[in-house]
Amino acid sequence: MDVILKGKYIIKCKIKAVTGLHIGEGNNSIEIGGIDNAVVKDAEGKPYIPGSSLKGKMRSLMEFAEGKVKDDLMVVAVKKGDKPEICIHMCDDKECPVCGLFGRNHGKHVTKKEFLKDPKAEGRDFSDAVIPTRLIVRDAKLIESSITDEMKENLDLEWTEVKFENNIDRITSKANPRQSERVPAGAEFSAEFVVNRYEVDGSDDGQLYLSKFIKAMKLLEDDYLGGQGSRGNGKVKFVDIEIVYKDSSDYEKDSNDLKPIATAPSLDQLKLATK
Amino acid sequence: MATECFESRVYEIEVLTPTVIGGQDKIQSFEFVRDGDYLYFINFDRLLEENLFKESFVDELTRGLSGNLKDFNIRNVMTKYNIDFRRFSKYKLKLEGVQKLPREIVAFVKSAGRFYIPGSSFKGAIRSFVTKALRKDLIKHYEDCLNQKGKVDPQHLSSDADKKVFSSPNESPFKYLQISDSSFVNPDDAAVFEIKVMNICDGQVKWFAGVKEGKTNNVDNPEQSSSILAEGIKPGVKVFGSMKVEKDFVDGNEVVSGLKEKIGMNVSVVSPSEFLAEVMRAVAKDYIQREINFYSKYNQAQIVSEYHKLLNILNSLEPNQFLIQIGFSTGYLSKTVGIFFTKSHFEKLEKVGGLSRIYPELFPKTRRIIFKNGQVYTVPGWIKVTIR
Repeated sequence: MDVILKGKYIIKCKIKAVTGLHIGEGNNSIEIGGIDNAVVKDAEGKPYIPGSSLKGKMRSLMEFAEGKVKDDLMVVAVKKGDKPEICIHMCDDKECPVCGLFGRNHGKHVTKKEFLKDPKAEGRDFSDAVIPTRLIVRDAKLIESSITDEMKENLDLEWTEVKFENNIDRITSKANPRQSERVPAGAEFSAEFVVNRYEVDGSDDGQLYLSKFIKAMKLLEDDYLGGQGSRGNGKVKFVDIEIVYKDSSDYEKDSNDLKPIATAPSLDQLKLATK
Repeated sequence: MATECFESRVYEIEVLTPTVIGGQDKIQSFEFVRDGDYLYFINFDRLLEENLFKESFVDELTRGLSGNLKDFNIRNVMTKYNIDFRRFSKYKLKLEGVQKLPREIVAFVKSAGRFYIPGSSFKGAIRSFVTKALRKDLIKHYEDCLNQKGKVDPQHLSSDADKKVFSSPNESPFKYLQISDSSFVNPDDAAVFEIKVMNICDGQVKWFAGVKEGKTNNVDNPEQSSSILAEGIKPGVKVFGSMKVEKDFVDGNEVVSGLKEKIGMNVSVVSPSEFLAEVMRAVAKDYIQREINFYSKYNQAQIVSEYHKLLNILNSLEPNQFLIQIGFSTGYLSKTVGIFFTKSHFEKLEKVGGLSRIYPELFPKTRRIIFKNGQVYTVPGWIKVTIR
């Protein structure tokens, strides 16, 4: 397969937490003075949104939206004994918008359908369809000023709050409280995404994958990011969006004073100019 | 998959009766100052930061807070040092016909100091209401839980039934119901409400007045009874959020069975959000009617009239609207499947340790009522929901 990098779409924006945001650190150990169910933080102790969380959630939403959540289109990413624990979509269809944007791996993959028939099935190698992943998602850093002094006065921790929830027993009505840390609503994060534009075997991507990426952003706004999203947390909004296109020839120039191909305060006002 | 599965809808909550979503905290008397009909809640961080140079003030404040709080009056200390409590308050709330001011107030849940209705509380209330609409054979799982032998954990007595009815969280139809936290509520739209506990003793209405010599004291005159004060949202206030009711919530899929086959009523609507609204309306109607019967039996005309108002609202709702009761002080029946239990069930429940006293003949025999200006006013937590 012949792959030429034609250029890069660079999408810069802010991610605004419309409701509290809980992206768990994935570690149940409790530090001294720490709390249960903490959020992921950077080396400076500030909460951030890992690129992996953003990309994983967007991929998952796109799998549903593009009709890829079917047993013969999902591969087993993590298995537990003879049961498929985590399945994601991956295929060797060179036109697949999900694999094309979010990437596919080398190595052999067993579809869920094959696995359910035979947990020892060998699977297939998709290497013939593998090209460098188009979408790159940076970690999104907290914009400190978005957590105002007034908000900070009311926070339990320096940048975050502790939310208490109760499980209520439906027979005795006894409450079983639990707590989790979250970034308060109103916090903003500085985000950057790159969508590579390739020419594959003479066929130019154009804005196809950029459009698919914007679709993924819209899907995320209508869903949630992080944990406990079906009960309050994780509603996010992309704001102050700016998209710049850097042609591969621009990288040979001394300075890059590129004009954005689109700017918009929010996704619903975003219109792409052709480039 | 239909586009509808991905689209969030806007929900609007209109508070119909004072609604309290209790946070974890209780606000102590030294944390607020009363001024006429208002309570000013002190911002201690700012108070100390700006008055650190007044050493004797800090000493007096520290002494007061570490001593007997009953004798400590923050307003007097601030006045002595010429500090305006209004300037050092986080927010102020109106006392809504409150007559007794106890030493603590139930704080409303807040995010970075802002009042809101958590999606978890809203979704939890929906789940509680859904359990009241379950098929009889599914309710039986909850009844069976009462037959558990040995030591029983009252916090997890219903776990087995919950799992049998709704499966594990991964396979529950409720994973297809997403509800965001609500928008924030301006403190002007909140107030402090007075709640009293009505207790039916020997067929008569009494009012809980604390514990005297180890025994519960119930009195005839509510003026002499105890009060619980709580921050709540005023009737008429509206908040908004987003809600996604996916098709699988209703119809299920190969992994999850949907609610349509779990509930004991015929619902003909096509849209998942209208399905939810119709189930909620049916449960609310039955629940309200039962409460009207209860309060009528004990001659509580004001509450009966409040419930009739709710019933009138309920009967005039559009297909995308429903009523539900949510939050603090809404009682046992609102949160559980107890609405289906009979004397024999409560006799079994009585044997579960760690619970307040169960009276199998009449359970629950208490209700929490909101008072205004010393009179019975209404019941807490009823909201009207519109899904757009």
